[in-house]
Amino acid sequence: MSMVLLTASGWVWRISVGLAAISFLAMAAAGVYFLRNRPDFRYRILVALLTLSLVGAGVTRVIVAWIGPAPGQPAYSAVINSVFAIAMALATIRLLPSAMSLASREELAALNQSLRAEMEARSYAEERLRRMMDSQRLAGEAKIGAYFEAAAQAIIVAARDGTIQLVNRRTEEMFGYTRAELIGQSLEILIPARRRALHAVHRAEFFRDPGIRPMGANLDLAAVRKDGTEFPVEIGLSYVETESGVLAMALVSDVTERKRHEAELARKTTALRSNEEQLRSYLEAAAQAFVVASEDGQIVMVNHAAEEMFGHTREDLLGRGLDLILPSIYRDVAPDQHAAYLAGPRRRVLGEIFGRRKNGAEFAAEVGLSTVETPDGMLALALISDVHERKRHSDELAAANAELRRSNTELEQFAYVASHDLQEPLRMITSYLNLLDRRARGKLDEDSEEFLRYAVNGAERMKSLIRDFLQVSRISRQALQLDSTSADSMVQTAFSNLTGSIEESHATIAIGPLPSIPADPVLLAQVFQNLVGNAIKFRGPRRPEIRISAREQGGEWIFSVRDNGIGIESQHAERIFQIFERLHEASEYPGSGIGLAVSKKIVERHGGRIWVESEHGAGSTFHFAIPTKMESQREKAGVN
Amino acid sequence: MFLHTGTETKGSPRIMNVLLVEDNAGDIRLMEEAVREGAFTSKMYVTRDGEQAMDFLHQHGRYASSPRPDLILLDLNLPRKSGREVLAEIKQEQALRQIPVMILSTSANPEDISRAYDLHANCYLQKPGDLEGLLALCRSIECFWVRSAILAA
Repeated sequence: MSMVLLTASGWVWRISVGLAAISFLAMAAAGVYFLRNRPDFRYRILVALLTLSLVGAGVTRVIVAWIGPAPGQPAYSAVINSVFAIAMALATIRLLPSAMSLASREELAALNQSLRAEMEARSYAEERLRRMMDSQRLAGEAKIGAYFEAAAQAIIVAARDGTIQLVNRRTEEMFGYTRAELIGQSLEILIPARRRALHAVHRAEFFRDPGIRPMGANLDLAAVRKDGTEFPVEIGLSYVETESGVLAMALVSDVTERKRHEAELARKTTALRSNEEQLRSYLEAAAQAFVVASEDGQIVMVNHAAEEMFGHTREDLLGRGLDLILPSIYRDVAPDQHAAYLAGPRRRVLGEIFGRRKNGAEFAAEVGLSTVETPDGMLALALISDVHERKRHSDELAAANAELRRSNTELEQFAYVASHDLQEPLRMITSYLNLLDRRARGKLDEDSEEFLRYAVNGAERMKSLIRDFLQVSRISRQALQLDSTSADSMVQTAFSNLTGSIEESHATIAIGPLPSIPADPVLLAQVFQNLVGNAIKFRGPRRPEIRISAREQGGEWIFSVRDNGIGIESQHAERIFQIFERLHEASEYPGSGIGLAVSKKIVERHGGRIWVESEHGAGSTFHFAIPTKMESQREKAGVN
Repeated sequence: MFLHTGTETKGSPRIMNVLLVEDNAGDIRLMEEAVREGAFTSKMYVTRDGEQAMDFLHQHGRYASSPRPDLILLDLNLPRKSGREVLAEIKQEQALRQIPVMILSTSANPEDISRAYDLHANCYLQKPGDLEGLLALCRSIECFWVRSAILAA
């Protein structure tokens, strides 16, 4: 084939076929490009085949163009072919970006879903909006606006199918839901799960015959909050007729508080009842008779002691008038007095009144009266003691007491007089023994002189005993000269009387702050003197150290005298305060053993007491307490 | 009537006559012994009860020749007429009331003491419990009433 052979129409043909080849190859390139960039495309194989066929078509046309047209092959067919091919290539290239962005399956699914969701959301919102508008409308229709909102009860309006149509503010508070959360929801979400089924049944029943009535009368109704907690409620039911049919209206009260109060009340009532039973058993067990009478003077309650006291059985007494247990002399006046007492009741005790037993015997009684208001009227309560016995006992006791006091005084008097009169013969004995001693000394034999010595010695001891006894006796008999006196000055008086022994023993004495007290200064100084004197006298081998102090406690001044002496064995702590008691031989520690007895007497005359704390060998502390007030001294001293 | 004479002390201007009114023999004897011991220089007369004492003072009956005493030692507890009655009578009688009356009693009862002075006793003395005490008391009586005090003539 030679180029020379080419004609004009041959060139047209060749160019056209060439252009077509370029177009097909361009389309194939686009296919390759697409396949390379969209590995996710679902129909890649198809595109690949198409691309291959386009490559085939392009290559075929390049070959054909090279060979040239077959004889007789018109150029125009090639031109037409190329025009189509170019148009297709242009279209393909133009479409390529769109094809590249062609959506995948996943993308489509997602898109689909979001579209559906949006649609649903819109329709839900629409529904809500509609329902809200319905609610608003309903509120308006029911003309309950402000009242409805302000109601103390939760008000819930529901349709036949149980959907909530309308709620008020109190409902939100009570159940913890917002209004928007409730509207359109089923009423049953407000009811504990275990009762929902039953509630649905009751709801259906209500709509069959709507009316105004309490829900679940005599039942404990419960409701459930958003947070799942339950609470007791009371519900009143009503209904509203609207264009869209009958709606049920529930008025819900939270009765938690009331239930709590009721429970509390029940508990208290039980406690009260058990108290009452206790009280009743106490009364039954009481030794005193207990009689309760009503306003009209009828006996309404008695205890066992009353049966015993009056000799009537309980059955005999109950319902009878008070005159049954009163002596006949009271019978006429008793009703009036009873009425008068109830008219102006007060607690009081009637002494010297009489009761009457079944056998007619009358007895002295003491009656404590009181009243109590009951729903059945005023009741008079009487606690009755048979004072016959008591009076006899107390009379006996008083008589015995008086006798004791009299004999005590008499004994004291006797002892005083006796001791006093003993002095007279003793004076004779002593004086004549003295005289004998004086005249006969040196003229008697040794034995006689010894006998005489013992006689003189005995007489002297007797003299000092009598003197001491009279001293103690005088303290009980003489009148106290009570005066507010500084304890310091009394201690100083004691010291000046003890100057000799204090100096001789080299005693050191520390004195704490001491108060002024109401006391007989002479007598109390003697107490200090006796105690300090003893502290020095009963010193051990050590140098005596004595400390005097005072403290106020329980309306008393407690004075303490502490020493470091020989101490006292605890079993003697009481005994040492008795007259003439001594723990030591007179030769060891001289003295008649009167000091502490005198001190005790003096302290007791002041309404006080005296005691000792001691450890044998480790010193003693004597305490005495004197009331801070003069009145209490008199009172206490008077008792002694 | 018992009459005892004390020893006379030389140099004293005159012998005092003392009347002791005392019923207790023991006490009387003790006084005698006190005189014997030299505690008293006076002449002592004794009556045993109140009536005798008044007879002595009025020089009645057997006391017709008795001297008017210069001092009286009077016990309170006496038979028939008590010391108080005697004291009262003495102090009511003009002829007798100048004689100093010393009450000599065992009692230290403030009431007894007070009553004695109310009745114008010149002093109140308690009987001492022993011999030494008695001798000392007698010496002091002697010292004061016999030697120091100047009595009405």
